[in-house]
Amino acid sequence: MKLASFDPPANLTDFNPKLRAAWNTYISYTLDQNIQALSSAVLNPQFYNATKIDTPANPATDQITWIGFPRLISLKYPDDDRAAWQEADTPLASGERPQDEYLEWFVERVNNKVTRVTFTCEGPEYWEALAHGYPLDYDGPKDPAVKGDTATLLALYHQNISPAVQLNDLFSDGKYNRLNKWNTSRGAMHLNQRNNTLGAEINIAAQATILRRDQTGQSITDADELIKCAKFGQPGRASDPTIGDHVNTLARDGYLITLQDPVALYISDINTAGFVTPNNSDARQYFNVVRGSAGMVVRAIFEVPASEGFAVGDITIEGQPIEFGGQIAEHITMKLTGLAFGRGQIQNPSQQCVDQKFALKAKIKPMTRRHSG
Amino acid sequence: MEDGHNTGATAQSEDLLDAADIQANSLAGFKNDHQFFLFAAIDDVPTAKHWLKQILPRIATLDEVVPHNLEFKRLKRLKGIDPPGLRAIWMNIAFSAPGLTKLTSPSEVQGFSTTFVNGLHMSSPSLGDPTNPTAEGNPRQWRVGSPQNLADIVVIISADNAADLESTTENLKKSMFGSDHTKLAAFHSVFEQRCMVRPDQSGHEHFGFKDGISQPAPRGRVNNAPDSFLSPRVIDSSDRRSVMFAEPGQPLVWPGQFVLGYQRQDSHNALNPLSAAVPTPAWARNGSYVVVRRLKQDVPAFWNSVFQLAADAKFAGLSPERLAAFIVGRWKSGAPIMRSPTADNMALAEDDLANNDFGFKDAVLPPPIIPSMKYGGDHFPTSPDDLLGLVCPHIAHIRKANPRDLPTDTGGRNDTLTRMILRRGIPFGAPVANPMVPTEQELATERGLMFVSYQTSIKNQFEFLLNHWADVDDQPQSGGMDPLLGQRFDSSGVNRRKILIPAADGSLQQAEVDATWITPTGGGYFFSPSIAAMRDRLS
Repeated sequence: MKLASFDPPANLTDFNPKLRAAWNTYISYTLDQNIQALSSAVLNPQFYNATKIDTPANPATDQITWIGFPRLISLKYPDDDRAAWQEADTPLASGERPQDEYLEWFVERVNNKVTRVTFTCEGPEYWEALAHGYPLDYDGPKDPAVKGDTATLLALYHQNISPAVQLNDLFSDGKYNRLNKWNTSRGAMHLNQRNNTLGAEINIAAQATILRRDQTGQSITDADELIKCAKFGQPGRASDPTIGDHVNTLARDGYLITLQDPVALYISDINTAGFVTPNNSDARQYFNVVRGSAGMVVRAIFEVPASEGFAVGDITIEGQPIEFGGQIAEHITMKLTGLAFGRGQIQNPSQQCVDQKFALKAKIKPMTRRHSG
Repeated sequence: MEDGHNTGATAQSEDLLDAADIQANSLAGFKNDHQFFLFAAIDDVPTAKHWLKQILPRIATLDEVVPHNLEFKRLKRLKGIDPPGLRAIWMNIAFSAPGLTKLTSPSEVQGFSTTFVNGLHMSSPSLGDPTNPTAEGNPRQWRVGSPQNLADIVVIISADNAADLESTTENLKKSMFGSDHTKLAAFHSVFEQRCMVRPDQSGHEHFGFKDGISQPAPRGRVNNAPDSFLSPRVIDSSDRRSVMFAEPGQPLVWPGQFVLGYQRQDSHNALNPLSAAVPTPAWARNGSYVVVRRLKQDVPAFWNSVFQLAADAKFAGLSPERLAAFIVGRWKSGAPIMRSPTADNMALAEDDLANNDFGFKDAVLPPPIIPSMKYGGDHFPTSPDDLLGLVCPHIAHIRKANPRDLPTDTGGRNDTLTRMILRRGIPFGAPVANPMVPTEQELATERGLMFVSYQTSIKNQFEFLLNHWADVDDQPQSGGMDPLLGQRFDSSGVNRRKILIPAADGSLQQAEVDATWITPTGGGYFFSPSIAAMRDRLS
C-alpha cells in the first residue's frame, strides 16, 4: 500500500498540522525531483516515492550503518589519534563544524574537564521548516497558509541549548541562520556542516541506484570504485560510500528502493566497551536520548550525574581520559534504513562513469556533498 | 583503467622478503600438530642475553619453513594424507614490552606502538572482557598477562610428533631455567601451555568446527626467482582475480600488513601498495606484533545454547547443526553456508579450491585454475548475493570477522584487506566426546584455543576486528554481535548477546544468548623480532 504521508524525522511532535503537511510535501517533492533526474539516465528508475507507489507488506529492509567520527580526519592522522580528535572538535572560523558523517557534537567543560557532550544528527532543513514553514532551499509548490512556528523554534532552543537564546539570535537578514551562535560557538541544536543535510542523504541514495560499469565493461561492485565512478560523494568518508554501495547492491539485484519513513539520519548505538569509569559503573547509562526514541535517536547527551562524584573527563576510553567529544563519537554508530521490494523485477543496463555529478547534469539543485576543506 | 583493476601487481613489484631474517610463524606459519607455549620472565639480563645468543641458530626462519610447508602441501594433495616422513621441529620467540625494556631501555621501547607498550591487559576492557575484577575473564584472574604475572618472553615450539616436542621442550626449559640451583637462571616460568590439534578431528576447534580455512595470502617473494611467491598463485591469468587472490577466495595482501618494513595495503586500491614505512625503532624491521590470547571454551555451554535455540518455536524446523552453522558461518566440516545453505557438504569442505570461494554481497562464479594444478573443477553450488543476510546471517562469525566484498563503515573490500591478520592458533585440552552428555572428567578439564595472530598494527587489525566489528551490534552490518567472539557483560555479569538469524520461513528472528562460551584466561601483546635484531640489539 501507499504511504499516507512522510512523517517528521523520528516522529518528532514539534510541527503543527500545517507544518507536518508542508514537511510531507517537501520530502515528497525532493524524492520526485531525484526520480525525475534519474529518468534522464535510465529507462526504469529504481528509486521511488512511497506515497505514490505501493510498497508491499514486509519489504526487505537494509540498515546501513557507519561510525560517526569523521573518517577523512582519521585518515589524515593515521598514527596520531589525539591530533584527529582535536581537529574534529575544532570548528572552522565560520562556526561550521568539521564533523561530516551526519553526527555533530558540542563539548562543555568545567575547569578544563569535559562534563557534557551533546550529539545531534538532525538535518538543518527541519529547523528551517520550523522557522519558515519550508526549508530555505525548497523551490517546490507551497501552501501559502503554512507559516513558520517561531515560538516552538525558540522554545526548543531554550529547552535544549539555553534559556538565554533570543529569537533574533537565530535569524540573519530575516532568514533562519544555520550558523547562528547558539548552533556554533554556544551549542549544537542541529547539524551545521555544509554537507550534512537530509537532501544530501536522499540525493546519494537516488544516484546510487544507477548501475555502473568500468571501461572494460565490467560491472562495478566495490564501494570505493563505485563512488569514484558515480561521484555521488567523497571516497574516504564512512557514510557516503557505504550508503551508496548498499543501495547500488540492491539495485543490481533488481529491487525498487526507497528510504524508510520517517526519512532521516539516526544515531543507532553507542559501544561503550573500553570505557572505564572511576567506580567501574557501566558507561552506557550516561548516554541518554533527549530527542527521538529507541531506534530513532536524533539527539543524545553523554553526561555523568553529579551524584556519581566524577565527570565525563574522568572516564577513560582504551586508557585515554576523555578530553574530546570525538573520542566518544568514535564509538557511536549512525544509520539510515533502506526499503526494497521486487527483487529481480528491474534490470537496467549499467552506465559509464560520470565526469560531472549527475545531479548537476540533470539540472536539479545540487545537493551532493562537497568537501568542506 | 579503473583504479583497483587491470594494472596488475607484477612479480617484480612484490617485495623480496628477507627470508633468512624473518621468524617463520608470521608469514609461513607452523603447521605441526603439537605446540608448546612457554611464557617466562627475565630474572637476569646478562644471562638472558647470553641464552638468546645461544638459541638463535635454533630459531626457525622463513627460508626454512616455506619450502617445508610447500612440500608438505604438495605431498598431501598428491596422496590425500599428511606425509608421514616429513617431520620438523620449529621454534620462534617473541618479547613483551617489559621484556624488551629489560633487554634494551625504556626510551628504546617507547618507539613501539602505544597499544603494544601498554599491553593486552590494558586493552582488555575495549575488547569486551569483563571489567569486574573477580570475573574469570578479567585480567586479574588470568593465568598469564595480568599485571601481576606479565611475561617478558614467549617461546613457541612446534613439532610433528609428541616425543619430539617433549624432548625439545625439556631441553629448552633446562637452558632457560637451569638444570640445577647452582647456576643463576636467566628466566623463571610464568605459564606453560601444551597444545595440540584435536586427535579425533584434526583441524577442528573444540566446538567442532574446522578452523583456519580462511587466511589472507601474504604477497612477496622468498628469493630472486620471479615466481618464488610466498603464496603460490593458482588462478589462471585469464581471470582478473588472478592478481587479487592466491587461491579462490584467499585474497593477496601486501606483506607490510604482517611484517614491518614492507609495502603495505592501501585501503582504496589493492594493487598499488603504500610504500614501506620505516619502523621505529629501525631494528624492528622484519619483525611482527604478536597477539596471544588463551581462550577457554565451554563446549557443553555452546551446544546447550544451540539446542535451546532449536527448541524455540521461532526456529522450528531448523536443526541444531544448522543453527550452529548460522552462528559460525560454516558447517562443522568447514563447508561455507554461503555455498551449502541447508546441509553440510563434506566434498565441498575438503576441496581447498572451493571451500573458501564466496562473497556475501555479490554472487561469485569459480575462477579458472591453472592447468598444472590438474584440478577437476569447482562444480559446487555457487554463492549467491546476500546483502540482507538471509543465507548467512550478518552476525555469523566469519561474516563479522571478514566481511569480504561487503562495504563497511571504514570502506570497501580494499579497506577490509587492511584489517586482516594471520591467525596461528591451536587448540589445547582434550576434546569433549559428546557435548550434550559430558563426563565428569571432561567437565573438570579445561580446553580451548591458544589464539595467536601476527600483524603490524595491533590497534588497527586485531583490536579493530574485535572492538569495532565483533563486539558491536550494527557493524559491519546490523543484526547483533558476533555471538562467538563478541562480549558484553551487563551489571549482573551476564554476557548478553542479541542476534538476528533466519527462521525456517526465511524471515529474520531475534534470539538472545546469555551463556558465555569463550572466556579469555591469559595472553599478552608481544613483538617477534628479526634474527638480526635479536643478534645485534637484544643479545
